Amino acid sequence: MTMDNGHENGDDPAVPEDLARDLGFLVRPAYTPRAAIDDDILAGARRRLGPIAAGRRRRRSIVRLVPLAAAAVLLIWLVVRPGAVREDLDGNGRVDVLDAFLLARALRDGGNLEKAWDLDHDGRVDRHDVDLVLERARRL
Amino acid sequence: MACSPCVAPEPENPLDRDHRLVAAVNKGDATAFEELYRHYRDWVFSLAMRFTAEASDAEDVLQESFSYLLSKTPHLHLSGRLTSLLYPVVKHLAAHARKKRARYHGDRDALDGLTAAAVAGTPSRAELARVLSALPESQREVLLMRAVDEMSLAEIADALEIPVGTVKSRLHHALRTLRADERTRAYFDR
Repeated sequence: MTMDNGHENGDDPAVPEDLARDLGFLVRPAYTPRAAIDDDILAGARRRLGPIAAGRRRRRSIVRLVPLAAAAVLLIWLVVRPGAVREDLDGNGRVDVLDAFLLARALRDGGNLEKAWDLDHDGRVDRHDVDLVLERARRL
Repeated sequence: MACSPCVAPEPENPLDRDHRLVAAVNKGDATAFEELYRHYRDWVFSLAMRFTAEASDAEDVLQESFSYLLSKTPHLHLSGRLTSLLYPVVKHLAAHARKKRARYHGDRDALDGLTAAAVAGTPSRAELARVLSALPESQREVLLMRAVDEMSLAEIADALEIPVGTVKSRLHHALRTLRADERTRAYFDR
């Protein structure tokens, strides 16, 4: 068995119970701290720990709101994402006179008219739809 | 018929209890702090009295010790039991209190003051007090931490920042002295 400072490893010197008891009598004080000391210490603890607990509750509230906020952002993005505006006919992210011009030229040239360009949903792509684009461009 | 699941739960391991309560305190739980305080208050006070022998100084040390713990929240960390953390804190604060009082001349005086009342009318304890006072401070400290504070060898080593082997050595020497002294040999003959 290996030695450590002259004593076997794992050797925990035993203190006789009577000796431990009498040593305790010698060094343990006959009285306890005043109750006012307890009150001061515990009041100090509440002052120190209260803000810590409050901070954790605030962080938990914010964390609970994150999924809601994420859902709201996603919803807004789905509704107003660039290129998703019906009147943005050229898909450049803006509704402007160019979109109206594109539709007007398509009508003039008699080319393929996309069903999506029926902006007033009257079953036809015509001058009224061009007006709608211009109206939207003006509002923006 | 007695319900078979109705078995009394095993008492919580002190180490687990301390870690659980410290974790709760770090989250701002004042009730957990109070539980820790109630559990360790008398030990801290007793230890402070051992070093200062003055009740008012010991009360100050008690307050300052737990204020120190609070100052570490919410990052208070325990590697073992709270006793290992508190022991050097109390010892350091008590030394500071002694310097302030400016009439302390060493552990021996504090111990003498503390044991005087305890040994009145008790010859065997009076003899024990004399033998104890004659031990080197380092051996006496380890003996009291083991026998009175019931700290493990590892906890003592941690608190005093010395190797476990040194703790064993000091404890062995202290017990050997008490065993060899005719005034205290009887403790080892029983």
